[in-house]
Amino acid sequence: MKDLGKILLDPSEQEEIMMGNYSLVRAMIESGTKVITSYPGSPTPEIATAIAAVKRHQNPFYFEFSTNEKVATEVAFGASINGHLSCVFFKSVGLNVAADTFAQLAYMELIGGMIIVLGDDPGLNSSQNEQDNRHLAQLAYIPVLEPGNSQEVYEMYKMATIISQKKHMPVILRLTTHVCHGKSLVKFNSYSYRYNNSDLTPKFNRNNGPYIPITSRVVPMKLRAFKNLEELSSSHLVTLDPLFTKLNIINKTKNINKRGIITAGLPYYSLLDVLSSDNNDVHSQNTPDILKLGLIYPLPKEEIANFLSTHKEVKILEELDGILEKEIKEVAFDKKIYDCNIIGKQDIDDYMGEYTPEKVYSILRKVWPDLFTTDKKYQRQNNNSNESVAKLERPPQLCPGCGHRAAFFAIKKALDEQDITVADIGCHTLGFLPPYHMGEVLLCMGASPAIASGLSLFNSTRKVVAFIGDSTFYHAGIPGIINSLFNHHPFLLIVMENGTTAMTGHQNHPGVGKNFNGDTERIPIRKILEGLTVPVQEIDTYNKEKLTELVRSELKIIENEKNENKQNSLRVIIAKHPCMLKLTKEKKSKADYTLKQVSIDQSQCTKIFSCISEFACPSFSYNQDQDQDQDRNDNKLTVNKDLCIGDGSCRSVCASKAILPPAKQ
Amino acid sequence: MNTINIYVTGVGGQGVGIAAEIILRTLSYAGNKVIGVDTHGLAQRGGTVESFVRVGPSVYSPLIRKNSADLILALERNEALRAIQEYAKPSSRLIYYDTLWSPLNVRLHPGEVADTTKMQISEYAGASNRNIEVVSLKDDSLKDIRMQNMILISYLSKNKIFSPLNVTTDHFIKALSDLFSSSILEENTNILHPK
Repeated sequence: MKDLGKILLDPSEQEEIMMGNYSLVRAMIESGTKVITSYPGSPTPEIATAIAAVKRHQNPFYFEFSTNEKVATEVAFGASINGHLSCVFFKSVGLNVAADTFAQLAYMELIGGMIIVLGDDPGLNSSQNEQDNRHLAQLAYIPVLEPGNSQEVYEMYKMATIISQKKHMPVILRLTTHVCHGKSLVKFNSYSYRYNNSDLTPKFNRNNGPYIPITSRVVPMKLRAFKNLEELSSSHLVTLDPLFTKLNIINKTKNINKRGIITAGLPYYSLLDVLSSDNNDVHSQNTPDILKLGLIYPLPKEEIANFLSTHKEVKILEELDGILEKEIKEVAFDKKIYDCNIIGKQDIDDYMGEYTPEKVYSILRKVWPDLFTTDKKYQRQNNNSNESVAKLERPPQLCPGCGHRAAFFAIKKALDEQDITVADIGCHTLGFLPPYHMGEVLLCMGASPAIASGLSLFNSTRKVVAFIGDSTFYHAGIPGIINSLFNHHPFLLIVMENGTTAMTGHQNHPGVGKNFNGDTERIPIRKILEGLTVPVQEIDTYNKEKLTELVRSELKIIENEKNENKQNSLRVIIAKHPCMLKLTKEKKSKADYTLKQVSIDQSQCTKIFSCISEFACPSFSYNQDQDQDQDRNDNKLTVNKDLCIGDGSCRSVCASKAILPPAKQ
Repeated sequence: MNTINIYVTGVGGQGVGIAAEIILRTLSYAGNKVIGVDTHGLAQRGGTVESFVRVGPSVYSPLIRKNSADLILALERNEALRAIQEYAKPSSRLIYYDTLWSPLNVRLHPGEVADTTKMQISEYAGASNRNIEVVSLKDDSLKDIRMQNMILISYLSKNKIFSPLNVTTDHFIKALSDLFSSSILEENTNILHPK
């Protein structure tokens, strides 16, 4: 088995196929990054997978999963002002959590350097919105480098550290989902072990600052942020390091109509695909020149002005919002370039989704219909999409044996149709799907206690129940809980405790007793809540009947207190069961593991099918042991041998007791 | 050489990503330029997952366009039909592992929504404007469902599907040795190359 950690650490020159999230870690090692922090969130958690692989051999840096993105940013900042090159990484919406800290970074003299790696998510693969974090970079006056594949991730991270260390300013490396996960050949340079002889003296000194942004003292700090940005011209960057000659790419063609495209990041590679004669019938005399930007904020105004003034038409091809577009139009206006037609976004669709080759193709067809010959492939695509065969959708769902399923099944029985349930971020969010419909409003990490507080105002008729996962509880749930105590908002909070950060790949959280680096004191949720004087009940979710009773009785107490006009607040049930995906994986890796599965006693089955219609474990389906063309009207319940893990949490769901105990099949 | 697009799909938990990684490495060891990408995150919890592998001198984006896959590998029957509906080129090839993981709608609405039948796949694939070759595989003797993906991989190897790309069995074995160790490597290699 190839050892990723060894490959990343090996100081010699080498080539390897890997995703951007992995090649990034090689660049971290090469550049001597000393402190790295994060909170897990797609598309970035695999950066930590590579870090874990490196750590097995040698520890060139310190890494931690912090409790949230704001905290992670602060830890990295503290390390930087003490002289250590630091890096914080997280997903797109993580920057909202970190924003309060992030907004001051450019004001500070970051003597060690500091890189913020963002995993934006155009196309909404795993996020609650499609925000374009370039807006926040501009708000905070922090420069942004945008790579488009694994090789560029590796090179641009190193460029980012050079800028950051020379200028003592923060630099953003903005990745997007398919840059993080896209796999291609990366060529690593050789490097010397800088981290072995790096100076570890704590260097914080107030004279390096100022570090106190208060009132009028902020003015020189803000000026410094602006000055730093101003100095980042391409001609200046090349003097810092020859690596910067690779920052921007210009593709010159022989096009007769002086057309050009300005783009950046992954859309550039989509564009190359679309313009490749392999994929489309392109009129080669119409193929536009391309300017691909590496540093997308601040923009290289001279290069852009040159490009504009040597072209008659320039299309700005940028994913999500029209940020380059506005700035480039400003450059044209300021430089009095009036004879270049700048083509930006043309309709709302241009602002949405990932710029896949398909999308780029349709955008270019809108702009320059004569770029492609009559495209047979395009027509074929349309023909095929008219096909009338229905497609089966397959949304994600809770795993077989998931404790959340047992919880939702039980909790639903204690609620009335009109009651309101609030979701939070995590695996339990999937409870909104049928047949549970549990957790019907969602905003972001840790929002459910306070949303439930708002829902309980002027509300004496509809009970309010909020859900929150355990990692989310520590991340951002606590302030909302304290607020509901402080301001007396009565509702029932159910902590869906599965003992891990499951959705992002089972990272440890403060309740586990282990952090990234080893054992640590557990910080139990129950103890935190008791310290806050919140009434807490704890129950295993497989204990469904008791859980239903408990929800009923807790809601009754809340209702009674309301009726008595008592100043009451939230009550909490910790509905816990270990993540069965994690547990089963661990069990399977042991030599003595034998798979046991439930089976159906067909003579007992009365065909109520509550195991499917109410419980909906993916292991249950109809007629799977029969040949498909047989009569489907007489449904027969079957257990999917690929899926059942033999947890048995389904058995009490069957009123006819037709589900037999797990046994070796 | 023209670009070859390979679309690998299945349900989260079936080992779609690892199958694609084996193919990616195998093709690379045979001297081809390859790029690819897998689904990560939310969909891995029982949703549709897909991996793209692209081969050829002029591949840039890791994503495959609709109706442009030359080869489709599916680890589940419903996903096999969806995959050819969305990604197959005419005269392409579908190789699927014939297991069924019923999607939620099929289970919640019996009689209204049904699992895909083998017949539906062959009818759709066989339409004269498509002419997609279909291979259905299943091995009931597998002791671990995590090896279903290896049944597809070994079909590719035994039937020399990648021989136009200069791939030999050794390239597959090299790829497997990159990704697995000890008993798992042995078991997987055995499926590929029974002793």
